[in-house]
Amino acid sequence: MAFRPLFLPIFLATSVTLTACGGGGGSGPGEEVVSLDDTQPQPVPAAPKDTQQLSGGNATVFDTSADAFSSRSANMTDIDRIKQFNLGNDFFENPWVAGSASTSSRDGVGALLNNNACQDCHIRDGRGHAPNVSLTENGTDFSSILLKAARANISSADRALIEQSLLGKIPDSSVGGQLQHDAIPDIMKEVELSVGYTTVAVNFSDGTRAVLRKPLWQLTSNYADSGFDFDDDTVFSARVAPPMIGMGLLALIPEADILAGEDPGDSNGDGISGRANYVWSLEDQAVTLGRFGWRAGQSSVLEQSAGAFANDMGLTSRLQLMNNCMPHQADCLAAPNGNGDSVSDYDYEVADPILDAVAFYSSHLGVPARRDVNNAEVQAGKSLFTEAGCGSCHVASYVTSASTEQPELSEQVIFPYTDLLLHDMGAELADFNIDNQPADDSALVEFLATAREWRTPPLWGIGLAKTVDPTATFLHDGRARTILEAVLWHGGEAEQSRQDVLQMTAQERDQLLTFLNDL
Amino acid sequence: MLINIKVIAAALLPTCFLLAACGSGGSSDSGTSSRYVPETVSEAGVKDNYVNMARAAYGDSLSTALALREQAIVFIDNPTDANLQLAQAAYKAARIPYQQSEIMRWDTAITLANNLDFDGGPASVDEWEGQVNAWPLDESYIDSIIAGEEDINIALLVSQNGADENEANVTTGVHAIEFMLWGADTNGTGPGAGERPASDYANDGSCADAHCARRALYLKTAADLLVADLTAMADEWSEDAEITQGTLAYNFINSAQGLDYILGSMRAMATDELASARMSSGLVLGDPEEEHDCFSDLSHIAIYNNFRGVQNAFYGTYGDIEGESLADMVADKDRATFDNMAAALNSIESKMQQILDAGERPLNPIRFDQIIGQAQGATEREIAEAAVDELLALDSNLHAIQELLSLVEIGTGGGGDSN
Repeated sequence: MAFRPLFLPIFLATSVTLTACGGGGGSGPGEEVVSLDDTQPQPVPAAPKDTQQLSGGNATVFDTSADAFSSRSANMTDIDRIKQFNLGNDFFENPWVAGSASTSSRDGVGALLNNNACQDCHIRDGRGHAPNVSLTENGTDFSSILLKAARANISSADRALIEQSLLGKIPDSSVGGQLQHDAIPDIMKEVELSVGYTTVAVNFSDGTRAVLRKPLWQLTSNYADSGFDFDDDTVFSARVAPPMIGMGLLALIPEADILAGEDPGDSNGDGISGRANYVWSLEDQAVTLGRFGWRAGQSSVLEQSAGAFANDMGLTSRLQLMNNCMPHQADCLAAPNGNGDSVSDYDYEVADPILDAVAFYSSHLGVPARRDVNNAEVQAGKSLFTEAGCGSCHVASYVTSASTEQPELSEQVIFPYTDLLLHDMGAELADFNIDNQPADDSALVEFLATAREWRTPPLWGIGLAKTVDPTATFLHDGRARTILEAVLWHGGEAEQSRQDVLQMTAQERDQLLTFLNDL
Repeated sequence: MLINIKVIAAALLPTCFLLAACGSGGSSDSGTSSRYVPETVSEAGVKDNYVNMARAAYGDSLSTALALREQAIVFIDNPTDANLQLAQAAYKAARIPYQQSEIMRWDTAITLANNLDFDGGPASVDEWEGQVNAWPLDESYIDSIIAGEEDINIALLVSQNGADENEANVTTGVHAIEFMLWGADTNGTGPGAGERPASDYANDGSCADAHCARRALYLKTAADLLVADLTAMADEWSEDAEITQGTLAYNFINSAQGLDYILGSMRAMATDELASARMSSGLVLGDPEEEHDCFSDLSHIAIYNNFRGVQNAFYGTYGDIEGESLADMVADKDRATFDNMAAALNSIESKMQQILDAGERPLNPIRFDQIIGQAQGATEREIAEAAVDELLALDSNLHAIQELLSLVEIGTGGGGDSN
């Protein structure tokens, strides 16, 4: 990009401040902030308040309709890149077909799968939802949520491999690392799933009461009768499809800025640690920093895309050559594949240009601009957000690295409200066993992440979540029906912030939510 | 209401015969040279004319679908090569008005919250069209139904469409009928479409695989359902519907976002659906089955008429209907914006016309799947790629118009996980 806005230096200066604040509220890791030049620290001129309107920098989009999450980076002008984005959109949006069909570029889905179109989980490129229940029946709509599985009692040798990030986890021996609840015709589905909810009351100090819902998952392996039931020590993890916006910008947050927020031993005593997840990169064939997914278990958008094709849709690609069948799932293994297309042979189902286009698309979905940055209530809510310590993990701002490959995303001042680090969120939100009891904290379930640790999810766009899809729900397992409910589930390292929110007056709660809804 | 439609459909028959005739060579009027200019232009006038256009487009879609069903029945009763070709020709004719009507599809923003199904008709075009024109289609799913035991009837086809929450299990609509008439195209990027033999429908005891009778029943049932669906949609745009709450026409006329919807539809069709999914995906990937009419190799008809739909929406024209239009509003406000848009549309039109002509050449036609297979620099590929680029560039014209007329960008992304 030759065009460089004249006011960029101001942005840069602002973001240094914000990064410093985010690192630990100015005391602790904030001191390690990377200096952008060698000069002595000097007073930073106050940036105009509305610079924060552009959550995604110059890639920010200005759409507040149900399509708010579906536009390409606003500063993308190159026609070949627009075509690449649209090609990715085509394959993200349209369903894949069981192999082997006439539409040979789009076949091979399954045999086991969670869904057959990316868009059906990431609804309008937004988030999914947990199943709703009726008065008499459990919820069974698992169309935009899935469950993963990992063994807790593993050998010390396996544990050592996981601790070195050479191995993600030991999968369940009945269904593998993920419960695919759907299958193509004539293939047995591997699980039956449903969920009910119990209610949990939370009291604010002013006497107001909120009633939350807590999921009770009912999981059955269809292979139990043939001697392959879930393992006794399997830990389950429910994951709603996350929104797709701003992924390429997150990929370009300098690694040093992320690591600067780490405080594994809580040396600053604020109750918040924060650890990076390190994962095995299939692309780089090396241990790399994890950034994507609910547990930062993927290092790049490309690997995340290939992982979703493989695990969620049963589609192999150059990065994921194995189908998702277990050795004892004979019908799955014998199902037709969709390798190659009508003009080329390749030994997997998602052709390279399609995988690359989907990753490109996923990297370039623009983040919507904030609507009302300067509103007094929004500003008041932002102060409350900061005072309650939310910004210690939901770090407001970064400047992305320079990238010649991704000019739209290069050197942008962004406001994602995340540190991309793992935090202990308490037993209530932990992964669980077959009886819905929280898993032991020592179990590593996805590379270095324990059953209680979750990556801080970005908050940008959260205020438009229900505009994009009214059925959207919040938190990793979708249990929170509203943003406030999600706040009230925060435990573990976030317990003090939660307590602060419980002490807020009704007006302050409104202000806090007004701020969050403006993101 | 049904009676009304029959009257309208009958009245429109001459038009549609004309259109069908034009299918082999495209329409002759370029849209701008002798453009109708009304004395006044108002939002209400533009919307009224748009309803007239929709009524005519769905009326023609219905009457050509009726003709397709009739030819399918003739073929089923007497499965000769000649009758198969007549049925295929009827399919081709039906694509012309339907693909022009498809511009109506992006209507969730003006329909979704309005519970328009209370009158018993479709709640939106977006929701309705999945049963009519869905793609991609997993043909093996249709074959498995035909080879199965269940009674083939409309209820079965509807229940199996999108079965197992898989939208690729397309059992209904245009492309299912296309598969029943042509079969899979095994010619790659070479010339030739699907080559289903008429003997697949043998009714003289010579059926090769014992499924001929069920195949015939499937084809007839799919055609019956297509007619029923188009009847329901035509009903939504009848003269009665204009004054009946719960219909799409009434909703559109009374929507504060009517003009936003027209412009948003043009953008969705031109810059996204047509430029990208229907043209560029195939051209980039080089996979000849990346065309929506992949069994019949009639994508050149489909995409040409999709573009006609964009022109129609702007100029307020369809067939011999013309009236107040978005183009008039733009021309009224700023001649340069209009001229730019008209020039852009004319330039794309000439390229789409060349693609249509290449596909319709009597000798050695070049169909769209062959263009997909052409090397960089080949004549037709260059034309198609230029058309894609110009369709994408139309985005800036559309933005200029949006600003000029103070229109709002509406959501065109469809109904979410249920579509």
